[in-house]
Amino acid sequence: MSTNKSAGKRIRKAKHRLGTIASVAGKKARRPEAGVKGVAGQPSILDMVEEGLHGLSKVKDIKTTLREFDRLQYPAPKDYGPTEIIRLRERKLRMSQAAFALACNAKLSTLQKWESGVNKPTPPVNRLFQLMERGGLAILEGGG
Amino acid sequence: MYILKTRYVRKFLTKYSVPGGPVQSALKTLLDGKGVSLGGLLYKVRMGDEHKGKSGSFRTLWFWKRGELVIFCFLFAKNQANNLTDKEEKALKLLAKEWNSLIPSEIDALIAQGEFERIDYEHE
Repeated sequence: MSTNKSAGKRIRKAKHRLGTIASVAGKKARRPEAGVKGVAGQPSILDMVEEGLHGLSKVKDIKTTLREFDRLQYPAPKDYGPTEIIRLRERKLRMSQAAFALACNAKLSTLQKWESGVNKPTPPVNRLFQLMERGGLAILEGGG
Repeated sequence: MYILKTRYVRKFLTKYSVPGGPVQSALKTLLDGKGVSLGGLLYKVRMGDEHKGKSGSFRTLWFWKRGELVIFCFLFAKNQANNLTDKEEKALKLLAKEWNSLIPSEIDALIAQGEFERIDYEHE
């Protein structure tokens, strides 16, 4: 039990660090008018809530709430089936299969399997599609 | 009744050397029932209106469980956007829900760990 507990603690600590990284990255993306910030350079309400929850987790079990909070930070997941992928590629991005596959760092045959429904994209790939749908190709720009 | 401030508020008040007076009057406004309710036991109170232009002019957020627990959760400068986004409101309510179910021994533990700090309320 005690090992379990400390493992849980470690995970939560790691999660907390991740959360901090996520909010730093999020700060750049969030438009200034999109949320209430503290005074310049101060953390936002979301950072305060995160800090508060982290504190609470030391004295009581708030796993469910933590999970709900983590979910709030990111868009709800969406599954891309053949129709959705083709719509994204042809209507939104106007790309050929080859060009789209290249942009996704996937093999052409992999993309074809997704589009024909032989295979389903994994959850992280679905997230990539979601980002491409929101931000267009700009999110992949640059030869870095 | 516990009257507390969060770690965030403590750091903020120290960093910007916000005087105690406006905090006391904001607290009084809240306890007089003149705060704006956001639902979920959360309230918005303007702080330091009488010192317009000076430091200490802020919007503040409070958690208030009548007769039991008051928590000064957050404050931000008045010239900042004053509407909470959907996401912020949801996040705040998650936190408020947890605060609502705190028992005294847990609150004491949180004070001991520096997560909360007591506010002395002079009007009491």
